[in-house]
Amino acid sequence: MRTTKLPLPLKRSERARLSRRLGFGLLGIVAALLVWKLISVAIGSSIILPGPEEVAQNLGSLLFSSHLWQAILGTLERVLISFFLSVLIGAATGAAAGLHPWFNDFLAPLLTTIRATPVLALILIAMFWLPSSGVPIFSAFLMAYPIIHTSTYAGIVSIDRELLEMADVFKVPPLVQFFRLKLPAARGHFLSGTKNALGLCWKVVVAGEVLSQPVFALGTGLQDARLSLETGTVLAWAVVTVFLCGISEFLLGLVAKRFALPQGEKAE
Amino acid sequence: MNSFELKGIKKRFGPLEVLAGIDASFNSSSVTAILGPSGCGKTTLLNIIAGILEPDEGSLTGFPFASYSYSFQEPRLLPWLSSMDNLLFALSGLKDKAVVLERAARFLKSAGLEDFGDAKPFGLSGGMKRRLSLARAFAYPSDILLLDEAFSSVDLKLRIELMDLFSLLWREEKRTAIFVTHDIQDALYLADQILVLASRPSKLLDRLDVPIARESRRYASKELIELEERLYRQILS
Repeated sequence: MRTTKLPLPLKRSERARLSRRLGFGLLGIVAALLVWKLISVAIGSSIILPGPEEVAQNLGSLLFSSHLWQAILGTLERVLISFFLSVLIGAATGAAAGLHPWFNDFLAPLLTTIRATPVLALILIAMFWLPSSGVPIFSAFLMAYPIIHTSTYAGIVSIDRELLEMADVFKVPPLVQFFRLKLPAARGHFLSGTKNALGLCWKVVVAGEVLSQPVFALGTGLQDARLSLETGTVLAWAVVTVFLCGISEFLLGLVAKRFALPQGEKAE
Repeated sequence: MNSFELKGIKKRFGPLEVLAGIDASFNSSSVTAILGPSGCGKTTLLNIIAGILEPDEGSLTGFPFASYSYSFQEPRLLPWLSSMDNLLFALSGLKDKAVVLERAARFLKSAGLEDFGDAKPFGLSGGMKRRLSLARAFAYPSDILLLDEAFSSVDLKLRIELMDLFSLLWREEKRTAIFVTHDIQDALYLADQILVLASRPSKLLDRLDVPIARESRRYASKELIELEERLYRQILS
């Protein structure tokens, strides 16, 4: 009886490649910390640029304060609301624009205006209209929505014409074509759009919080620390924000991997 | 009985005249090969028959009321669906869901893919994908089956396997089949009648019936040599 051996050498080489990548990544972090430390020593003022050890100390004490965790929850809630709103509405309008060219033309001026508007202008305008906790949500939604819309639209219009022709020849009903052909075909573009949109939501929500000052928010923490000239604490809040953004992008990446087409699975 | 007829079909794409008046008739439940050199407009003619393209001039009798299924040169399978779901997708326009399931399962089995019903296209070999594409065309209960170079771009062994599968499925459910090829031996192996098209702008050069029963034909056999020579002469002229 023939048995198939597992390709162990390949697995070993993959492990080696992963270790090499991790090693270089760690080396990069150490090099960046070293450069940071050298510059902070050269400047010699912890108000302008504190050293990494001071920021680590501030981060340590921040982690033990309940204020940080309440701020994380508040910001996370705003990020998730703005992200899901932009995904829901962006996917719906992007799909509609992909299916109906007239709807694409209809939305084009609005989308161009939103894309061209600076994020700070949006935040300032929103501060006239909305309560402090609504400003970051509204601003992040407006920044992330065009990304989701455009990626969904691109996914729909880039569907293989030959597959559509096949579906038409077999008289596949439009609804079945939409759910079984068009949506799955568009998911690659859509998923990469969601990843970009999530990162942007974190950035814009925190920027909005810095200006609108909700009670529990990472942005409020940043701004309070800045006003007290605690540069180390500002950087500690920034580290928390970057970490949370990275973690959420990583988790979304796992979800996207689950739904993405496996490698080699292209239109046949 | 001539069930389907083309009269004076003309088609041009801008300044390029592709079909210069094609007349042909197709017996019901027969297999017709449209043979001709590359670029002579065979696929254009097939697309006009399928209603994908409109002719500039000419008439089609019987075709507008018929239903079609198509087997393309590429398998055109949805990569995210399993083999079975690819068949069900093509049949999703049919009302009776029990019939849909029965036909999909039957033709998957006839194509020798019953153990690969859950497999997605990337897990199938090139030959299996072609077989699945043929099974899909037969599973769809059409009046006319159109095949656009469905046996080309594969090695000889696989080509003969695919043509044998076509014969097997066709015997299971006989219907009018029209296939496009540039290979004389493929045409002689499968067709009841062969229509030979000239180079562009295309006209019907010749029409011949293959007098040997399909079941007793062998690929590239000596019994077909006279017809083969006649076809070569027509195409080379």
